[in-house]
Amino acid sequence: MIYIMTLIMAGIVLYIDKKTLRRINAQERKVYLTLVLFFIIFNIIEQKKLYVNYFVPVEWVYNKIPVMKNIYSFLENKG
Amino acid sequence: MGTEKIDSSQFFIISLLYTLGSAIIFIPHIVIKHAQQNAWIASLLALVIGLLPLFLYFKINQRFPNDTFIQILEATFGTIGGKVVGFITIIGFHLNLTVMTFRDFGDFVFIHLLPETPLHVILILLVIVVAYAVKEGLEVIARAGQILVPIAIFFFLLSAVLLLKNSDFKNLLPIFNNGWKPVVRAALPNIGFPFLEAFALIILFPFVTPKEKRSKSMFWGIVIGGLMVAIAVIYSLIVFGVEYSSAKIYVPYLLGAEINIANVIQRIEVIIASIWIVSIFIKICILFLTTVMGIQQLFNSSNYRIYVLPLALLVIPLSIMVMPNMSYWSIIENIWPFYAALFAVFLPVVVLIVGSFKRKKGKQT
Repeated sequence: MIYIMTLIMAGIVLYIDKKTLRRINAQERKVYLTLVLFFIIFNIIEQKKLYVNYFVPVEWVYNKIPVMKNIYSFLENKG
Repeated sequence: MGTEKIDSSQFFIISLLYTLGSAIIFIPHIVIKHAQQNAWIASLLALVIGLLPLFLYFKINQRFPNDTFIQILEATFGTIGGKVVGFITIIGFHLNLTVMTFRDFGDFVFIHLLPETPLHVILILLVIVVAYAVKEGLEVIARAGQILVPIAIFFFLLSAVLLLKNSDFKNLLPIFNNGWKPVVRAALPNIGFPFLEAFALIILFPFVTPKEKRSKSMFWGIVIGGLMVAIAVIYSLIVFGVEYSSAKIYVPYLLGAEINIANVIQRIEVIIASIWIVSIFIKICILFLTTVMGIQQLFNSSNYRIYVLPLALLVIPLSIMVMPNMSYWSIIENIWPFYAALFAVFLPVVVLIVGSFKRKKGKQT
């Protein structure tokens, strides 16, 4: 159901924006459709709550950007 | 770049509302939590320090008055390097901030105004309005700001006057009872949020006429916005005191509930919330606009409006994903100033240093 609803939402937006899609050139259309593809991917991830176990952007920044963890602990110690 | 232009007074209003944005409702709680009754000093300190990066942006504007943001990066880092840095900045700063601000608005409406409505519905309704505004363009958003700002300021001043009856200025004392460290600690999140966020406005520089007044209008917009945030901190302290203000997230919204005129006019917090709704609406529109403009400049597209609808779609799941629940705010408030500084301070410094090296080299050859 999630897959179908996501595709329907993407389809509605593509239908509303059909004039734009016809008017733009091939490169712009590629960027446009990539954004729609990202929506389909991220919406499925979000609806299935996959990100909670695997990828939360805030946690990613906290864990992956080298000094962030140290800064956070330092500030927490300072109250 | 298009033919859209806004004048300096419109840019002043955009800067003001952008600074007020979500800060006016979030910052009092964060600052008071760390600095207690000295929060007002922390807020003013954050304003003074937060204005410093603006001079980097003004210098960039002076050096590249007609170039778009991506063109500036390309002139500094080369064509491919500029695109890569631009892509990281647009995704890591502009898009990230857009979805976080969307989520701020969604959480506030969900918690205080429409608790029975799913968060997704609130976000979808907001994204429809924002996408419509951004499709209409920068000029229309600026004119909407011009119409809405007097209303917001009227309600701000009205609430300030009406709340004086409930205030106790002794809540601001004693000053520096725990030394200056808690004040500096409290100023840190306030510097990142909202002052470093002003970096996103660089993208709008080429659209502001006349060129000479860009810096001045942005500077005064941010100063007045910052002072209004500081006033909100002071009122939270003098009306509610330290304990209540540090326990509640949306303190300025709750200030509205304290207004009572002859037991007839009361519970007007939603009217007070309109100040915030106006400012956050303009802030979200500007952030969304700068993100689509960034994408347009990255891919050399003819018009930014073509990317509005797909990005509007994408923003909804991303704004839910950016933080699973409100408890993540404690991480965000601590790491955001440093994360934002990577883009808002470090990047402009590198652009200016590399730019001056290249100019010197150009003169020698």
